[in-house]
Amino acid sequence: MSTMKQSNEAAVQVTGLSKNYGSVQALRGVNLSIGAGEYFVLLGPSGGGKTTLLRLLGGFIRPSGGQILLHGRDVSEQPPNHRPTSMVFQSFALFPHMTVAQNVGYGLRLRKMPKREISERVDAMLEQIGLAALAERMPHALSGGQQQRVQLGRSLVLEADILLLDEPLAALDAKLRKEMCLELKHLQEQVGITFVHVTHNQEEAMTVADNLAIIADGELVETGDARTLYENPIRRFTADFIGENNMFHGRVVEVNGPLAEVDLDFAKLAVDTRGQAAKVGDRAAVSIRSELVWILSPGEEPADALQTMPATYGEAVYLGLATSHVSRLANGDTIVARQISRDEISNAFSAGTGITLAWPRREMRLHLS
Amino acid sequence: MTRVGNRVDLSKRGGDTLRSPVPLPRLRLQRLLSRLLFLIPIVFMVLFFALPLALTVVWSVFERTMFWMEPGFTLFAYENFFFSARLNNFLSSMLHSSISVLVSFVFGFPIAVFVRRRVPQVARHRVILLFILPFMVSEIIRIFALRPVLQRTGLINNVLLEMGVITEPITAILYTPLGVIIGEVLSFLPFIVFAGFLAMEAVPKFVFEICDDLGAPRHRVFIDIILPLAAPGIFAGGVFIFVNGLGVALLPNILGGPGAVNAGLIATQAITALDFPLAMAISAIMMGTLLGLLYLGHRLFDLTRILTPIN
Amino acid sequence: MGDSYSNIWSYRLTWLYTLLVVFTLMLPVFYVIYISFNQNGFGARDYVFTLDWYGDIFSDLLLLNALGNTLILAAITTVVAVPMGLVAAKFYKTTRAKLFTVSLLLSPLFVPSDILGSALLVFFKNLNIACVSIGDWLGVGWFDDWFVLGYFSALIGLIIYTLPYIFVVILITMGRYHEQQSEAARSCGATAWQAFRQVEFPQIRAGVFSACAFTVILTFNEYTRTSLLKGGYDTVTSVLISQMLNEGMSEQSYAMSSLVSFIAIAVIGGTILYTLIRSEGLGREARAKALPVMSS
Repeated sequence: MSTMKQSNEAAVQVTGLSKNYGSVQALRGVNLSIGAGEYFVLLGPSGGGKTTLLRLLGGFIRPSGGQILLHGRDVSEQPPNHRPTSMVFQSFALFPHMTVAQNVGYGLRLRKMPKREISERVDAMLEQIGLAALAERMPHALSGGQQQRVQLGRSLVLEADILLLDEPLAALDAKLRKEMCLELKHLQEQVGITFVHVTHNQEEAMTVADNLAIIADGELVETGDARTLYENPIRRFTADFIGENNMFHGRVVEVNGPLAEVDLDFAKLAVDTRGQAAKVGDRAAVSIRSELVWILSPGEEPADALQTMPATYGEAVYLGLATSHVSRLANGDTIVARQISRDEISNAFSAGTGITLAWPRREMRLHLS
Repeated sequence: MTRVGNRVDLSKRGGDTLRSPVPLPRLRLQRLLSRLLFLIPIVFMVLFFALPLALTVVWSVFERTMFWMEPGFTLFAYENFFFSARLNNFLSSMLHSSISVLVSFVFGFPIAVFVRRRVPQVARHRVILLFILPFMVSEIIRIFALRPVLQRTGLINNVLLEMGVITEPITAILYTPLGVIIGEVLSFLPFIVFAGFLAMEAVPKFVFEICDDLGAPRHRVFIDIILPLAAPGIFAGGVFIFVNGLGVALLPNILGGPGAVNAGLIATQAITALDFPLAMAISAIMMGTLLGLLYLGHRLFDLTRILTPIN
Repeated sequence: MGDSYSNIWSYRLTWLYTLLVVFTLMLPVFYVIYISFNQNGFGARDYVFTLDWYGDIFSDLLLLNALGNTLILAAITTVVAVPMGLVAAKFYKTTRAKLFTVSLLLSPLFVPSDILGSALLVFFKNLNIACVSIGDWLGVGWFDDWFVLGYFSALIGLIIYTLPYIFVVILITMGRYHEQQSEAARSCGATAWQAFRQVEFPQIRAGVFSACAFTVILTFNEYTRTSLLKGGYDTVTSVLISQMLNEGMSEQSYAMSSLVSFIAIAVIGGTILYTLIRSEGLGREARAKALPVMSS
């Protein structure tokens, strides 16, 4: 069952989905499609509505409007136990009065499966998640990582078509989270079912995801694979949220074929519209990733393909692998140039020095919304 | 049931029977029924608790008949209450009740503070359980049992005589307001401990650590920190004792002298005398007093703060 | 133990004070029990131990009859009120009208027994009159005596009296329960009832059982509301009160009071013992948790 991956059938098809709590709109008219066998991540800031969306998929809350199709079947009104989904929670979701094996076998017992078969399947699952030795432990005697593995096992053993994961790694420390991330990814490749994973952690999202959706303020901002969203975001919010981008705000003053000229008051930038319908007078933002920006050495002539901009040097922030050079533009905004740490650059400038920043023109991105 | 090799194909068997969709009408019916189920306690309390108490106001203005009452509008019952010895009795029982509240606070509240500050988490609920113990003995027994204790030939006098503290038995305790106050304190003191404890639960422990850190003297910590933070709990406990002191007829009936009559006793006496409008008027006055106090307390201290520990 | 810097003696003194207060609250009851074993009764110079007074109780048919009534009332109240308290606590957890719910359910604590009893008495009398006149008007009589004072009205009074205690006890136990577990069960395929029965209930069982114990004891001890609403029959407390008021504290009253107290103390003592044993068990679990976990 590992050949389902990336098939064309949609495992999740959501149209116009909204959820209100009184006057608060937690989710507004979300449209989303997730292919069967995909590892899909819902990424966004806390309180943005991604968990609401996941809980709507799982059937733990009822939509205020819109429709949810799972494998083509409308389940909008169905309770969780009548959906082809299974959920892994952030924490505290193991049954504390049952052993690890009983936890994993719970769903099978509900299905009135013969005892022998349950224990066979539970053993196989414990083997797969690497907890065979701990079958008779109680949940509180497990570490955080082990508890989350048991949750995974409890869900996977049911062979549901869609696994929902609600911040499954949030309660773990950073190192363990990294390990578990890869494990999750490999596990999904093994079992081949659809995973829908909610997280606010960018690195976690990029590690596991085939595709991502950015969700903020109750709206679906943008979808795409990790590389697209990182390198080629359309929406301003995405550029701001993913990676570390420098953002310039201005107005479109001229549209010339594929190029739009954006006036920032203190400088003008010509940026590829990437197919967006830019009109003169539109408010626009231009972003450039901070690792693509560097400081020209004094007297260095920039190549033609480079955009340059004068700035006043502020300070260097040493981050280990990289050093961030924070400078100030003519309008007072800060701009960050992030480079691999090397002594000669880190100490080359002192605060208040006038410098020139440079980056490749074609890497600049225009954002109209 | 399809078998694939040695194994049952789950997605075909358990999967589909268990996860198959429920018809919508049945779902809606289930939802309706469960909503109704969860409303039962609320409906019950509205119907048999809030409604009868609210209706006391209506019944209190009914006309009294020989054995019952009939619809009408008269303030006779209120006149009967406010322009007779009953008002004086009521007011003096208010005074006694207030004294009981004060005494209970002085003796009981420090225990709540102590339990919160110095008793380890696991043992805390056991201490509270200790204070539940008296409630496990019937109210009437606890109140009646005070007679042999406080009597002329009772326990207190016997012990004091034996010890030579007094030469004549004290007779000024039982069948006096003092007896009623002792009875009220002994009956209701645990409530100030419970309410105080609940209120103190809402005070985070680090607050005390900050006080220690700043070297605040004990009485200042008590006045500046503990009292304001625990005020809603103290107030709720106080109101409880005050209102019960006014309303529990048994206390003055068994421990008080001829003049000791509180609202509860007036009401039950009115019922025995078949003067139902009067009984209802007193109930209405009591409910008014209670609601007024709670409203006042809520405006002053935000009583919802007491509920933080259970939320 | 508190903070290690503080004086151990002040700590012990405060404990002593706390226990002294509890002892004082219980003193009258202990004294009554003490007297109940004296052959010569209250106020006598000589103390001769005897169980005779207790023997007298059980030959008192009036009392035995009342005991039967009380036990039936206690049983029905428990069976009805505890599930209601449970449902109310569940409702409180999910509803957004929290303040209304909690005020409605806890306010009976603040209404004195005589006041609530009187109001309910008049309420039921009115309901009864209404039923009879509607029955006359319709020409049918099968609901005439629905609201006649009796078991039913006494039961209503007792449920209102016990519900706040049940609600609070269960709510506090539920505070330690994580709602995600129910959701996890649902997502494993459990129905709402299965999730409650198999996952939530085992974890709040202690609270539900203590609530039952509470209800039985409170019902058993209650006098005012029951006596106002009970109609014609007797309960243990009403027999006791009438005896005490008519004959003063007779030797038999002492014995009866003691007996009632014994039962109550035994039940609550049992509950405390049970929770102690349980928390001992929890302590062991906590220690087990502290042990290093061998494989990761």
